[in-house]
This record gives sequence, C-alpha cells and structure tokens, in this order.
Amino acid sequence: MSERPVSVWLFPGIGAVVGALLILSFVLSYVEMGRWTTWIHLGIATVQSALVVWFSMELFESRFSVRMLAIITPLFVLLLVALTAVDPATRAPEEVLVPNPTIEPEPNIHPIPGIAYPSGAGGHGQP
Amino acid sequence: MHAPPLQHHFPDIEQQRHAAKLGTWIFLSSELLFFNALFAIYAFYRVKYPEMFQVGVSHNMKWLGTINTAILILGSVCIASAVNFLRLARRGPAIFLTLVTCLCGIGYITIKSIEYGFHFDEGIYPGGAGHFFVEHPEHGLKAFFTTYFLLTGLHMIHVAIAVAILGWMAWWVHRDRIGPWGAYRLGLVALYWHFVDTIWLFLWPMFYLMGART
Repeated sequence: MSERPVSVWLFPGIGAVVGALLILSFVLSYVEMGRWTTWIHLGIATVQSALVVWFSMELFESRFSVRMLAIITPLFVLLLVALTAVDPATRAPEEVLVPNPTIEPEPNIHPIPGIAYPSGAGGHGQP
Repeated sequence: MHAPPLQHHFPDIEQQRHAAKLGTWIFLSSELLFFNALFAIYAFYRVKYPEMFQVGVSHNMKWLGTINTAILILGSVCIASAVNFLRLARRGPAIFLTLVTCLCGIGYITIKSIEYGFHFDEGIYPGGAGHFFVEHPEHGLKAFFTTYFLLTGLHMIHVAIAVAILGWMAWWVHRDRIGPWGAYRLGLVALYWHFVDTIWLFLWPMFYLMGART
C-alpha cells in the first residue's frame, strides 16, 4: 500500500460508474431476459466488484502477492459454486427416479449371510 | 502528526505497510471463503427450485435493496476518499468522510432491519418458520428465505463491525494518532468496508433482481 495520494476525483468517478451500473442492473430487472437473466445480473455485479477491487482497494498499485490472493480466492468461489450447482442440474427429474425399495428385516435371520444369531439371544425383531 | 512506529522486525516502513496489507487480504480471502459456503447453498437451491426462487425474489422489496446498494456504494466512495485525504494531510475531510461512511453503515442496518420487520410481520422467519410457510408450504420458498436470512444477516453483522471499527479510526485520526504516514491503517479498515460492499453487490441481484417479476 503506497502512501502516494491520487486525484481526489478518482474515487467519486469510480463511484459514479458503479452507480450507473447499479441503475442499469435495476432497469434490466424489469426486462424479460429469459435464461440470460442470471448471467447478465451477475456479470454486471462482477464488473462493479472489479472496479471497486482494482481502484478503491488499490489493487492497481499492489504487489504480486496481494494480486495473487485477489485472483485465486474468487476462482475458488467460482469452482465451489459451479460444482455445487452442477449437482442438482444434472440429476434426473424426480418423476423419472425409482424410489429405493425398503428392505424389511426378517426375524431371526442375520443380515450377513452365513451368520446365525445364537439361540435364545434374539435377533432382529426379537424381544 | 507523526509516523507510525516501525516494528523491530521490519527493515523499513514500506515493508511494514505491505505486510499489514497482505495480512488483511489473507483475512479478507478467508472471509470470502466463509461466505462461499453460503453462496454454494444458494446456488444449489436456486438450481433445484428455480420457480420458487423467482417467487421469493418477487416477494422481496426491490426498492429497499436498491437504496441499500446505493448507500454502500456511497460509503465506499467516502472511505476511499477519506484515506486519500489523509495522505494529502487534510485531516478534516478525512474525519468527515470516515464519519459519513459510518452513517452509511448505520443507514444500511436501519433499512435492513425495517425490511426484516416487514418479513416478520408477514410471518416469514428463518428456517421456514412462521405462518407464511403454512400458507406456502413449498420447500423452495423455505430454502429461499433461509438462505436470504443467512446471507443478509451474516452480511449485516459484517457491516456493523465495519461501522464500529470506522468510528474508532475516526477517533484516532481526530486524536492525531494516525496522520499522513499512518494512513495505511485507515486504508486497512477501508479494505474491509470495500469487501463488505463487494459482497453486497452480488447479494443484491441474487435476492432482489434475478427473476423479479415486478
């Protein structure tokens, strides 16, 4: 973090751009965009965040070690969110799924084949 | 005004500043990964219940969310400018803008609390509790509002912490404990505010815009 001051108009300027993107995102929420809705809104949020991180968080004058953190951490976020979203997206529809058969334990029969309960000890379903 | 004391294990003040900044970024990265778990939960349920999430988004008060977004962006501009003014040795504007940022945070918390109040009046509570979910028993709606309360609640706690630390820093600047050479200390707190702001820039479309029908 250098202690060099920058123009006093830099941050209000960045704020104005981020604010303009806020208005754009707000207006677009009234527009039917179908399956692009998520991507467009998250895309605008990403641009806004990138402006804040690059200028207001002074990444533009940071050393490589700091920049590396600022790049790698969001990638981890992207990875986890994407993998998590892929799970329900790739599941079969519920109406296609066959329910698991329920196996009722039979009395006096050990669940492992070839093993018998000691006589009088009581097995599954026995008192 | 005086330079911050140089700790014995740093060869110069520049190295000390960089270490402080890197440490703060590592902390912020861990915070982001903390939020990441909740983002993943949101993604899972949004893909699983897309229709119900649209109903939930339409149910939220878009105007209040948008005003809160504007407030946080204003706070971001103010605190970044405050650090810059402190570097320019203009203590008055630095203190003023830091306090304005605090007010932005308080305004955000107030609006969010009002919004929560509206939800509670409607019988919407975290975990699918409340009479709203008796009338709307869909799992997707319960999932939407539970992730909503979890993410926005955790975020609001972060805003409250930022407000407290910024107030403390404004006092330090006022008492001349931080001057132009120690502006990096205010800058570290500013990083935290910007982080909180950045998180909200994603929460806002997730809970107020994406799929809103009105």
